[in-house]
Amino acid sequence: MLTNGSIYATLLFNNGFGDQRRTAMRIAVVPGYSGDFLATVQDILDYESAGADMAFVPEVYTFDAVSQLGYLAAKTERIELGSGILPIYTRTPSLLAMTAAGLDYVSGGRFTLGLGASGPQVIEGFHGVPYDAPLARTREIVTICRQVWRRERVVQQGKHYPIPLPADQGTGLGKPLKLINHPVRDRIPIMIASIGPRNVQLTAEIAEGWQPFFFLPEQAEQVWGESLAAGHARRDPELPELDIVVQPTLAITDDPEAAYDRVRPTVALYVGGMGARGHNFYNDLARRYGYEAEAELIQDLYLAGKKAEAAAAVPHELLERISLIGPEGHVRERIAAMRSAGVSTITITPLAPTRAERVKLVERMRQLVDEV
Amino acid sequence: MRTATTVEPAGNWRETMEFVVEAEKLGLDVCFVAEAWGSDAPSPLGYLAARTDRILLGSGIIQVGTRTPVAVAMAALTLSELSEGRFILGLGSSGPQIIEGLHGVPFSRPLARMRETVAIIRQVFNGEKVDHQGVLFRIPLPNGDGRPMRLTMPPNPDIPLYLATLSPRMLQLTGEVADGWLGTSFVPEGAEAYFQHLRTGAESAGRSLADLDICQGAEVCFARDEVELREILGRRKKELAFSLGGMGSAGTNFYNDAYSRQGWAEVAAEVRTLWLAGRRDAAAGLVTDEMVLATTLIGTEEMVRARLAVWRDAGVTTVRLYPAGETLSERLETLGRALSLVQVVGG
Repeated sequence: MLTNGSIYATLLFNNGFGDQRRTAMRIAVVPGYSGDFLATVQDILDYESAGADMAFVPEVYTFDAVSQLGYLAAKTERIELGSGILPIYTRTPSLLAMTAAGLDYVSGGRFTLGLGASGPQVIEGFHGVPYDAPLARTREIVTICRQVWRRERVVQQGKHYPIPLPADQGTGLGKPLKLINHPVRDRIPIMIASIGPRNVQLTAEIAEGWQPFFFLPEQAEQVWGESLAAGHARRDPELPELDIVVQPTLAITDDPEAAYDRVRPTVALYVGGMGARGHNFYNDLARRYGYEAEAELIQDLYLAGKKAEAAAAVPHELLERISLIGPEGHVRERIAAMRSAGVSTITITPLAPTRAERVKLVERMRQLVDEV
Repeated sequence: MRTATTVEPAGNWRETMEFVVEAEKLGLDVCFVAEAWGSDAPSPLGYLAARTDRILLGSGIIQVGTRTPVAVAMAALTLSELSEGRFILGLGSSGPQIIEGLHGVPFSRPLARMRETVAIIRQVFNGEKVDHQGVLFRIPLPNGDGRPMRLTMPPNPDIPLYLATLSPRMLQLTGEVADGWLGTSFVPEGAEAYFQHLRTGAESAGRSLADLDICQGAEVCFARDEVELREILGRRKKELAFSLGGMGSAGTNFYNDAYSRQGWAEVAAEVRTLWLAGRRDAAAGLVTDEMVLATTLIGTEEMVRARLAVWRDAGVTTVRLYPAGETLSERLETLGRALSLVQVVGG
């Protein structure tokens, strides 16, 4: 996997990554969408007892993640909480900072601010906000958040978020302000969801955590090594090691085919249907992983409305490599492969009919990760 | 009259949370959470939804312009779900100092912004596909990939929507579209200055003032005797002088405007001039007893009881109490006494 002398291996080596990187990989959970949040809360309480280190709450076009995280902060004691992810376009940068400070406040310093660009359908279609310049905006937002948390007067000359608003653009009454209250921490970890080369580079430069999508350990170096190295070259030495947070589908089973079949429609949706032809980040990623022809076919089928055929066209090898599906020994091997590729946090969605089985799954995952 | 309070998520959170939990046990009906400079409102509201059972929880207020209207609606629907129907969405415009100064967003056209924001939120609450072509918001964005969408969660048209407003046109809008009004610097004797605009708005929508929850707030503080009352008034006069003179900017001070509308235009202007000239003690000296007493619930128990009756008779349906006290137990004790008086006064 790690070729000596490659950029990626060098990067990992230089950062003390690899097998000695951390004493243990972290396990995060992202609850499956059940529509019953109170039941989900009970799940997370049990996952916390079963050894999960972190819980992420997503925000797309259903529930608001922030209120749910506030609720979880009240119910949990130890588990870290993260937004997975908040879109950068729907709240002002200062409000994102206040929101993170608010969640850090009510959780007693357990919050991680997960940020991402989301997609144009949601941002333009549902929020009515132009989906433009995600990279430049992300960079400015991260700078503003940290300035707010340090309780400095917020003054930014950024292209996208000039603060205070210049007089010729408004009433001219805005004066530089700072938070009155002291945040719990002046440095709240920021995790950025990114898969495009320049976005990944930015993430490695400025963020505490990186959440790629469909992470394929054997191809990580080839696809992301250069971007990560370029970002790390400009990374502030004060920042901790980049936390690499992946989210494979988990199913410990002797009948992996059935589990793969359940994953296929999701992969087909992303690779085939998330964005128009030529504007689908996930399709690009599948191509960069080496599945050019397959990615094209999946997209053709999906956009033609043949969703089942698109799902059937998802290559078995791709599914096997991006997920943790199979007998226990196989899952252990795949965890080891992820760790060798620099992964430090594995996010899972425990899927099983009963809570007891889901909790058992988290416990087994905890054992497997600790063994690796 | 219903009873309410407002907490700011600042300082010791465990203590604030304990205050809310204990206030619920004392029988308080509503707890609003401010979006202070240090925390958003939805995070602590989510937290409080988990720690309380009966009390209504409101945002008091969420500032429009800091998030998209759809994001506001998503937070409201989620908080209503988490609290099992106990959520009240309170919205306000804030002011240009914060909106432009801290958020870098134009404060222009606050009335249109509020009107459109409410319209979009109602669409989301009703489970409609969001389709809004306004002046300040266009959803979906024209010429984009986006198509009208609805949330994938169940609709909830019943979430009460309150507006914090002061100016005549904003009050009219409140009467027209809101379920409740969150006011400040309220003088019951001068209530008509506000109510006339709320009524005009309500009637333009085929409703009446009685369809709105009139939620007014004031500090409640009990003095043992006349001597202590003088001390309390002295401190409050300085604070009011700051609100009238030091808040806002050279051109806009909502507190000064509000007191002016209640009949203190001359003295409010003088206080402001003195304050801005750095003569703060002289400014405080101009503030009269009446200016403090008329807008607050400060006094001996008998005085506070009498004022509560005046508030009730003026048409206040929810009284928002800001209990004085140095410590948590003192604040809870003040709140408990005030709740008993509200019960005595009835409503």
